[in-house]
Amino acid sequence: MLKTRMTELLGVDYPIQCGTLMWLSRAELVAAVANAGAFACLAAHSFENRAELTAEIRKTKQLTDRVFGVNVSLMPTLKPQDVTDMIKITIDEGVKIIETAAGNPEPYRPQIVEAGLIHIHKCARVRDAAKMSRMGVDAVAIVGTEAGGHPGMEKVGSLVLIPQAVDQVTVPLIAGGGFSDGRSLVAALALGADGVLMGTRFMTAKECIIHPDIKRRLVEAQETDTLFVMESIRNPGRVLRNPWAEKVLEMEKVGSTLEQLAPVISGKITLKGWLDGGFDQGLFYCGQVVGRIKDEPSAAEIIKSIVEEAVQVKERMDGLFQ
Amino acid sequence: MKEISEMLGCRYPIIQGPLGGVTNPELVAAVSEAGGFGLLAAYITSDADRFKAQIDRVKNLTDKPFGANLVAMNPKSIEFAQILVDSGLPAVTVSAGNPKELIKFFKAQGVKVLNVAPTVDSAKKAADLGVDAIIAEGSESGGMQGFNGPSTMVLVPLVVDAVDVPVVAAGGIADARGYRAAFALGAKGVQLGTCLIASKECIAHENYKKAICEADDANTRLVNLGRIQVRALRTPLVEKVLEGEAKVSFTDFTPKNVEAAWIEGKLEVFPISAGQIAGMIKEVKSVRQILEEMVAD
Repeated sequence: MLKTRMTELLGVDYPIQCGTLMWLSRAELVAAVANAGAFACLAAHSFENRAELTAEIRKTKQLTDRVFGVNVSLMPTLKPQDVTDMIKITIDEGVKIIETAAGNPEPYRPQIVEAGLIHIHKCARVRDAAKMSRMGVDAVAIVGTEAGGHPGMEKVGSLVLIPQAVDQVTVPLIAGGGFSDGRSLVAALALGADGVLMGTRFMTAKECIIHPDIKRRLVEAQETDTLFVMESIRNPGRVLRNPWAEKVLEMEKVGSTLEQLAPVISGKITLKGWLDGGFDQGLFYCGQVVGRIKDEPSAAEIIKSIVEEAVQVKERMDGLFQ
Repeated sequence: MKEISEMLGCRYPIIQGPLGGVTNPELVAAVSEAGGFGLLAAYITSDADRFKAQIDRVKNLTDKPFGANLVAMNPKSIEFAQILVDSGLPAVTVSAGNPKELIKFFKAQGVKVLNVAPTVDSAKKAADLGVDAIIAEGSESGGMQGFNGPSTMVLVPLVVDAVDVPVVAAGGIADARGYRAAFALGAKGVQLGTCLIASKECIAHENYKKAICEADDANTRLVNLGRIQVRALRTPLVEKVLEGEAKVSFTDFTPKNVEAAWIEGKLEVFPISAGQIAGMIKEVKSVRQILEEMVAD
């Protein structure tokens, strides 16, 4: 009932991806999503070195026999990253799917194509989605401005982006930004997407390593409780409103440089916050849809409820539009 | 599917959004004639006689029901409300500002009242005041906006879950796909704005319609007027404002400036409003064609 080009391409049961979460998309969460019939990627940049990434891939494989992927961000970072090596590890460890995000994956295409990986590229503009489709990636993911993390400079909502991307992309299209349940999944399919990715929904999953105190903050948050930081350095990040985010905004307002901002926007501080539960320190990336997240179920329960609701909504829609 | 159309007495659950200075009677009548619910807009005007004349003009053009939108922050809104009641309009929408007095007034007069809500909290407040439906308007929408509102995709299901009255989705909808997506999210109807500005029947200047048809997905910006923001197309004027080389403030938001830009096509005078969905609109169509394509299988 929910078979799409996305489920066919990736070999998963449902057209649902757990959006890749920096620091959080680790073996337990990725395997739990895969075991429940949906798709997830490890976030390669979360790991200190090649040994750690290798170990995490192996650990995931012990926890699931289902497919999963590795995500590699192409966003410029202060500390240089060896993307080619991350892709090499992915290939050597027998993972079949790679997700690149932001930036231009063209330099890595030969390596990806030669290894026969399924390549998903994630972007935030229709023109980039169209370009990726022409470049020959196997699937394109496009995220609206609702999304947590880095949904681009243009701030266009997913309801607007998806149909335009559908019109310009020939490969399967995965839609992100604002998705959390069966209703929004069916909405994405109605807009012409082949599936959805949802990150924030899985942040309160039992298998996600976020500290219980921060999960409670996420559950309590409303849809108006996120804001953009780092617009001044042209890399807007949607985060939960907290004293740290307000402080970053203040620094940006008075014209702080990247060098001055670097220690405050550091991912390491965010990781510490996620793990230790101190709400006042660190940037807690999440989407507007945090306002719709009211529980902390297992990944399997999340996916089951999305699928059940989607089936009901599809039936309701068939009744309305026959 | 019938809740909204039965409430408003129209064929399709499609409401025309108030389009400020380009809400001409011919457009309103065309929407109602095509099966939707046309809506006059009092927006920031204070000219009661002109508003009355517009109502009469729509009545001359169609026998179908139509309504009007009132902006709660307009100091004359209660005066306009009385005009609407006296004219026998069956339903009104209320937006921008505290709707309490207007809702109370219309309820006492037996007029259906729909409240435009950009957040869940504002939707709940309006529902508690007894409105007949909520129009959940996401941040994709053109025209007047608050600050930090959620997108339609996030807002609509939240509001559907939070209130007991039917919810109409607004912001980011211009074709059959968006129409169906809105229903999947639990909406019982949609409100359209930008695609109707680019209609044959709209009085908007050719320059305005052309700018919509040529826009891509990244061609609108929020222009801060102080008390409110306006989502507008990235015209040279808007680019200058964003670069800090020109300034537009709330006091520039006058019927005279709006008409010069929107109806006379002098785009250097004032920003021209449009929603993000402008990127999907490629040609000027008749209102009937827009509505029929939207509801087609």
